[in-house]
Formats: sequence, structure tokens, C-alpha cells
Amino acid sequence: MAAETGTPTTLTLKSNDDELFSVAESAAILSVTIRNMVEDGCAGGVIPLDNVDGKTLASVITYMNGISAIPADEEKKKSYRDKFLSDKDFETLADMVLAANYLNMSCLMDAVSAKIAQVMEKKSVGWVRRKFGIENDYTPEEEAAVKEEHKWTFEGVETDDDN
Amino acid sequence: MHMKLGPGGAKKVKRDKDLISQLPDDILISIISCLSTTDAVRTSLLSRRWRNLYRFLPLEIKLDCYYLLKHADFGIKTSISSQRWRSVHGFLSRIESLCGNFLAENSLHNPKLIINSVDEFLKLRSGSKIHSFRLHCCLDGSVNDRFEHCISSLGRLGVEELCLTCCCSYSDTSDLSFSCHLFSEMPSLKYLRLSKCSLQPSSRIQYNSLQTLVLMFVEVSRGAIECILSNCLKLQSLSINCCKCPHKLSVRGPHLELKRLYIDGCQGVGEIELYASNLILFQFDARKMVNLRFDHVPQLQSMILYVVENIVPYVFGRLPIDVPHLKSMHFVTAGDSLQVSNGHTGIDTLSNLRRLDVNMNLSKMNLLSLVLILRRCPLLQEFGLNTNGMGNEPEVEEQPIVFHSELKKMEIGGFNGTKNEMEFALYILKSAINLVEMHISRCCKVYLKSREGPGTWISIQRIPWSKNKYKTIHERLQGQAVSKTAQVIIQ
Repeated sequence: MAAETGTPTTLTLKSNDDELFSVAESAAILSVTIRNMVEDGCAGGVIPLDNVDGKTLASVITYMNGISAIPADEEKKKSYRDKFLSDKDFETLADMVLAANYLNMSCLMDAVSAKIAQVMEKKSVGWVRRKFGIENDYTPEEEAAVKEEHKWTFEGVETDDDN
Repeated sequence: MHMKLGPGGAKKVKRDKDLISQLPDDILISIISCLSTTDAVRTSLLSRRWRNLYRFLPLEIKLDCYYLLKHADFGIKTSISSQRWRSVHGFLSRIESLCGNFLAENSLHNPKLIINSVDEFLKLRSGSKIHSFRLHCCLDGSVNDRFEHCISSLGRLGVEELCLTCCCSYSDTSDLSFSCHLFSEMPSLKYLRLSKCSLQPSSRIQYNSLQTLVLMFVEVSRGAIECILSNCLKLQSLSINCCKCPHKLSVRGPHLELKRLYIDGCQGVGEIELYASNLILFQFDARKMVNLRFDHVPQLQSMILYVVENIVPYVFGRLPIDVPHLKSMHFVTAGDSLQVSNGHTGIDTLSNLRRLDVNMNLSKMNLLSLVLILRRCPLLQEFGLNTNGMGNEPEVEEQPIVFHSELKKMEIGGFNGTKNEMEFALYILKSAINLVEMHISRCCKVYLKSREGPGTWISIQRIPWSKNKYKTIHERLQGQAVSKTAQVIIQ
């Protein structure tokens, strides 16, 4: 309604730790979840986002504002995303991807997934386990069987210590 | 990794060391979908959590002889049956550390081992989806049954793109035969590139979704193309390259979807019959012209003809009668003279042609005779001419100027600045009364054909003009245009 009068509509988002954020509707509807709420008329008061904490939501809103300020230019959007994610540690990335999934923001979800995947690229199984603290819960027999099945994937692996 | 609770992070995901494995399935799948197929499949070794995630991804797999046998000692163990081989094998295993991959190298191109290995590989993938599969290895007629079995497996794995090269050697081909009924074994297949085998028709071919078929170095049996056309009802693009073909190729069907047809360097073809109501593009490349019969091609807009002999008499003789509605034409010719009979009008003009490209190789033709061609294309808007190694042109009587009112753009590549070339350029400047642009370049543009889609133009650098030459060309051509809007660009 306000859009018709020319003033941009502002939405208020609430994180699961009760922080409140104001954000322009035009930026917030990058999230399909929020867009649906707006379209269903649930956006009158405060939109509660039960699965996102304040710190992550602040970050996501920075992203929403940043990317929606860029006109339709995929190159520029991509370089914004790269810059936006460049200084984030893995814990933050994990929070972001969870939030992006919940908020249904495919562009952020894809960008963060690609960023995490980048770390695993061409790395040995052992290296990835150590990097992410993944515990190997296979029995030796099981592991041998999986290895046998996928031995064709061991070419071109960079850090080839223990696989 | 040191974990701390975020500010006020009461409802956070439970965190311990292994944060990534706690992410939900769809996020992990989204992450591994950014990896190459091998990297993604390798994640199944990380832990039980990761065991089957990759199965949700469409896989893209490339295999060749070397790859298959290097990773397939099971193949060698189960398939080598003869006593002699067993003893050789035993001996070799003992000195394997010294000889490295000698055994693998030695049996590298053994079709039986290879097909076993492919079969084994596909069995292990059951439950996954293979989106694209490329196999480049040595198979032969002795493994036909096993091969068909593998094709069925690929069909069950939902393969959409398949590239098969049945022989590793550059010059050889394989006697493996690919029967058309295999199309119905792969109901989701959209793209097939088949190379170095033979193609057989079949009466058992059923529903399939094939859209693009590329044949390279294939021995095409009589009836195979016809069988494909009448059964692959979604086929849009057919490309037959360097194949051995029967004398007559019949591209005919009452409701063919086929839009693009490429026939390139095939042996044995003497006649091509076209009855294809949706055909838009036809590309033909051969040493000699064959009998092209255009029975029904109402949509045909573009033709590309690469024939070593002089085909100008055909292009401006028979072709306008067969395909008067052609919009774009590109041909390469090597002829000495254009031999376009003068004075004809009416039926044998290409009266819809908007774009014409002519590449002339080692021709001794007088360019002014191209004027006769222009007269046959009254609506031509763009004309690209590329000359390559022109000889000394014979004298030709001066052409009276006839106005070409539609011609907007003229490009001449490979321009040497000879007297004849200048005369031709001047003729265009004076006759194209609505010319917008004339582009003259020392570089020769050559059309790089593609086997599957539109080709690309590339520029071939030549020794540049001398300063004087450039000056002369400039002086002779600038300001000569009749058209007020014409721009002459000389490079």
C-alpha cells in the first residue's frame, strides 16, 4: 500500500534471540519465505524468524541490502557475493547457509555452498576430515568396501597422505 | 576447530566438533553439487553420514581405456582365463613393483576387460542418476552383447547425454555395431554422439526422447538413418561426419521435427533426398557435389555449402528453383569462372536471400563477374566476400552499373588491393545506393564449421598492407560512395 504512495515499505524482522531489524521490503523479499508472508498479509507487524539468530540475521540483511542495490548485472552481483563471503569463517558460513535455506534465498544458498565446496575441491578424504573435524565412523571393512567402490575418484587429489 | 556459542545463541544447532555433518541433507547436497563428480563421489568416504549423499546428484562421468583398466584389477583377475595368461599374470604380479603398470598397459585395449570394467562400474552406480556418460575406449564386435547390456544399465541410470567412441586409435575404427533399438533402452537420452562403430537399423526401436544425434567415423548401414528418422520423433539435429554412408540418404518423414542437418565429409553419398517440413538449416561439405533433392523444405532458411569444385552454376542454377525461399547462403568455391548466364530473370533468382557469404579459394576469377550473382539476389542486404590466394584474373568486359537498392553492408576480407579488387569495391560503392557500411580488411575471414551447432567466423592474419598501399586504397575508395550514409572502413 505504501508502495503506491511512493514511500518504500519497511519490514521489521525478529531473530530467535529477540533482536529487531528494519529492512526495506524490496530487499527483504529476496527471501521467498518473507515474500510469501508479505503476500499472505502476515507482514503487518513484526516478522518472527525462529531459526535465525541476531548475528546471522544482521549479516543476511547486509547481504540483502547490498545485492538489491545492484542493478541486473550478474557479473557485479557475483563479485559482490564473492567479496561479501570472502572474510567469513566456516562457522559463520554454516550459519549463513542454514539461514539461507530457511529463508529460501537460492542465490545466497548457492554462493555459500560453492564457498564451502571450494575448500573440499581436489582434497583427499583425510584432509577434508581433519579440516572439518569429521569423525570417521566406518569400520575398517566398511571403509574398504566404499573405497573399492569409488577408487576411480582418487585421481588428481592434491594432499595425498592417508586418503 | 574451536566452537563458541554465538551471542545469545540459545536455539542454535547443537554444536560439537563436526559442525558440517550436522547440516541437513539438502544443504550438504547443495554443497557437494558444487564439486566435480569425482570430488563429490569421494565425499562418500568421509563417514557414514556422507555415504549416500552423492547419489542425489546427477553424475557426469568420463572413462577411457587407461582409466578403466588401471582401476579395474577385478577385471583382469576374472577375465584372464588362458593358462598362458595366468602364468604371465602370476609372474608379472611378482615383479609388479619393478614393472609398474606393465600388465595394465599390455591389456590396455582388450575389449573384454574393458567391457567388464564398464559393466562393473555401472553396477556399482545403481541407484544413482548418471546425467552424462562419456566412454572413450576400445570395444569390438566380440563384446556386442555385453555392450548392449551396459547400454541398458545406462538407460536405467537415466542417462541424458552419451558420448561413445569405440576405438582409441586415431586411424582405426571398430566393428562394434550399435543397433537402433538401443535408443529405446535409454528412454531419457537426449544427446548421443557416436563415433567409430557401425550403426544398424532395427525394427524393435520404440519410444525415445533423442534430440541431437552426432555420428562421426561411423559406418552407416543402409536404412539406419531412415530408421532413426521415423522412430526418433523428437530429433531436432542430425549430424553425419566423416561417415561411410549408403549411396542414397533419405531424410524424409511426414512429421519430422528435424531442424538442423549437417552432412560433412561423408564417403559414398551420391544422393540426398530431403522431405523435412521443419528443416531450417542444412550444411553440406564434400569434395564433389552430389544430387541434392529438395522435395519439401518449406522452412529452410540457411544453407552452407562447402564443395571443393566450382558450385556457382549450381547455386545460381538449380538451387533457386529448388529452394527459392532461402534467406541466408554461405558457400565456398574454388572455381575459375562464375559461368552465371546473363540476362535471366524471374524464376531462378534467390528472391528472398538477405545474407550471402562467399569464400573463394585459389580462384582466378574476375571479381566483377560477381555482379551477375548480385543481380540474382534482388533483396540482398549483407554480402560478405573473402578471397584467399586469388590468381591473375582474366579480362572481363566491363559490367554496366545496375543499382542494388537493398544492399546495406558489404564486407571484403583478404583484400590485396589489386586492380580487380579495387574495381569491384568501386562498383559496389557506385551501385549500392543505400549502402550503410563497407568494410575492407586485409584479414581473411574463414568460417569454422561446427559439427553440432552454428559455426564461428575466425580471422586469418595476413601480412599487412604497406603504407603506400593503404594510402592508395584509401584515396581510391573514400568518398566514392553514391549513398550519403555509407561509411567505408579500411583495416
